[in-house]
Amino acid sequence: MRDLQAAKKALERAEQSTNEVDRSVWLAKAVDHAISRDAVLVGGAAVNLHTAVYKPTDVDLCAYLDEDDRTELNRLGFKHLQDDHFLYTFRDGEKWPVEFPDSVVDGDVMLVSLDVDEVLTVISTESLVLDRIRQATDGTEVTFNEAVRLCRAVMDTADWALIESKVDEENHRAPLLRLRETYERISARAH
Amino acid sequence: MSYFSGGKLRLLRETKRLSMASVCQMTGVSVSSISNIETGKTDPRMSTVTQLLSCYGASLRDLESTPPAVVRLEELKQRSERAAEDLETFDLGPSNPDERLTRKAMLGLDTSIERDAMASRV
Repeated sequence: MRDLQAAKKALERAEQSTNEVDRSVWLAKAVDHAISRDAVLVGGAAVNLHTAVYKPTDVDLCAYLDEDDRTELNRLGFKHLQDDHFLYTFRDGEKWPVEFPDSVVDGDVMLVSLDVDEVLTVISTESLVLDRIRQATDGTEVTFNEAVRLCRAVMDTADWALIESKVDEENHRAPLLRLRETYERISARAH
Repeated sequence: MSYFSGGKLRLLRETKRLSMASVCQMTGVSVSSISNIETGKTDPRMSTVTQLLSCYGASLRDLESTPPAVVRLEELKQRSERAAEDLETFDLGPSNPDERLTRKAMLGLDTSIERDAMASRV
């Protein structure tokens, strides 16, 4: 549900934020208010909510955008770059790209309460772990270490039985991806 | 706030190894409608959803998910600060955005905007 006044307030909260976590979630919330459908925070900014060491390079959101949404985002100061890529420049000069990699989130969501009356929809911890394990199937050290960092950070809070069942399910559907094998290597390192 | 998941509907179709075209033939629901429902572009009518579910041998219960957990941002931040300390002692220090962007560039993706954005942050 579009609420431009609320979007402006959220943007102001992002402007006043002094750390990356606050800035990214309030920027995401501003977008969520500016468009007509719910936006879900995914990607690096979501990882950073759990690890505090990620340093996201952008804010990734899942939502379907129509022309009205793009127009309102532009009016709020989100410069349209190409496709569903935007750039927001803060008053202090910081630039934050905002991208919409998918219209729907691949997995489940959780709700993060930002304030007494502001809630942001974020990809669930378990779906985020799965996403990072999927990325780590590329065999590079960088994606492997990122997945280990997240797994280690959510070791005590994630539902690992659920993650394992999803890994097995997906591994069965796409055995060549070697998801189970990658998961076991990451899990062993994270413990 | 709607938690109807087009993604779950897509997963049910893929699990049955059905293409959108074959579902269209079996149900009469057009390929574009199926695609729009699965990608969240449209909120489907209940009758269309049940028609698709019946084609996948599934029920509305298969689309149900437990209500999403609610976590306070402050709580997440406290946990993540503790996690950051743990990662340090675990020999997994801060993530390096430059390495990530290099990997992305190797996949043929344009990273110039992200690099410019990172440079703008003190």
